[in-house]
Amino acid sequence: MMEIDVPSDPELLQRARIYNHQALAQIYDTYSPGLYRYAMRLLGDQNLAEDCVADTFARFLQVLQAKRGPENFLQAYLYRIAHNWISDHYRREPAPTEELTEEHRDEQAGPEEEANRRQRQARLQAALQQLTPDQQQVIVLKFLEGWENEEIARAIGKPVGAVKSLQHRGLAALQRVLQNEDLV
Amino acid sequence: MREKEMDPKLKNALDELQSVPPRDPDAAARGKAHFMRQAAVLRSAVSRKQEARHRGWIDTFFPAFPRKERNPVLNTLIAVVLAVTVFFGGTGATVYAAQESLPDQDLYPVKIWSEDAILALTSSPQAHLNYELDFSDRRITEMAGLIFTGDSIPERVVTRLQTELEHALELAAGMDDLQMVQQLEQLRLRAETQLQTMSALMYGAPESAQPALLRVQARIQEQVQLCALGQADPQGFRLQVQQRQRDRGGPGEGTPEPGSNSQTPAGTPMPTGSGNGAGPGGNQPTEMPGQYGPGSQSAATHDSGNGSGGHKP
Repeated sequence: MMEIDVPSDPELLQRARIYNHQALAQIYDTYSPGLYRYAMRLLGDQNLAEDCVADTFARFLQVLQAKRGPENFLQAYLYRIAHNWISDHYRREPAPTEELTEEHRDEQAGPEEEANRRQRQARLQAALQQLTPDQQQVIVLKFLEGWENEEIARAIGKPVGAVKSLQHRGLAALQRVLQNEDLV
Repeated sequence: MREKEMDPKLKNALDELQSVPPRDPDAAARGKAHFMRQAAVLRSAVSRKQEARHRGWIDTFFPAFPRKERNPVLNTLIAVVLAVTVFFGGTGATVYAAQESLPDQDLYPVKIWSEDAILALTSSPQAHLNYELDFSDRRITEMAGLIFTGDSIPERVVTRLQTELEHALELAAGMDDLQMVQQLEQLRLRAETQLQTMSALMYGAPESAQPALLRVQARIQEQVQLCALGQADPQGFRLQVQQRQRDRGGPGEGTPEPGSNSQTPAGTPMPTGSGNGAGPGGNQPTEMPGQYGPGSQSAATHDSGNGSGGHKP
């Protein structure tokens, strides 16, 4: 399920290629919220998520400048850039494997129920980050963003069959991790 | 595994991941502003490069890139500017490298000097007008570059842009009605594009830069209006231009005549280190930007000294 109805992508991209102000503003306004949420789910850090969004759109401008870039399916294209950014980030800085420490718990102290919820969410996020980048992306786009397999396939640049396979293996891996962490 | 076949506990765990802390609105606004600024810089650069390619700008300072269509006038310009450059012990490569410089960079005076040199050596009002427009795009690109790095905009950049816009109007006013109306259409379209860029630049520009940006925006808006006036009422437009020249302390006597702003090189343009480049003819104060033709003046301010001949490209 696409998150927002937008004007025709080819028309928008045509205007974006000449750096039309309104078209570029529309693209940013339409896609940056979803990209931010996506990055937050995979990175768990607001600053990193903002960096990811900023670099995604900067890369988008670079491909426009190089007279490359998509003719259609702009959302999938942008998410692929973001996915590559996140994968590169984890190659440089592998995801943390430890549980939250006491220090982290103290930093999130607040109303007890809210603190517990945030702590559990952070642990779930850490569990998700134990999956491969492709598995993470498929799980997030499918079950958290509500995309169809065809859209996911465009975003990750793989066939639909590969998406289904990644989904199956990703969920199985996630379940194992969550069981090991006593989260399910 | 379909969602309905999923372990309910796993599904619950995924549902817990649905909620994401709301995005910081300030961070979101900064992100958008940064993106729009980057796009504005690219748009200005493309606009300038398109005009440069059309008039063989690249060839002006880099004749190593041969072009199939060669304009004999540009060939002369190339030879003269490079000869002057070499005469003062510089290299064409330096002048070329200067073309991308910003007002806070060492090569900027060379850039300004080269623009003044080109204008001084351009006798055709049409070509002169095209160069003024091209240079005004450069000023906006420079502003975008300064804003991108969080800097304020020097007054001399604003002044030079205003002068370029003014000269474009004066040059158009000096043409016959038919040519003038055609040129004003080009001026108006260019100004509208520049207004778009200025709108983008306003997004999240440093506070120190905003007064300058607002003035530039207002001036370009005025340019659009004046062009529209000229297209509807050529004589009324010429009277307006005349009045504006008087207000600026220019001649303003009589309706501008065709070719009244053409340049005759009366001497070798002198490069300076003042940051504002040389006036044409070699007998103008070298730190005054945008002085073109006898009697016309720009309301230029300059930051430092009167480095006559003190800088070599």
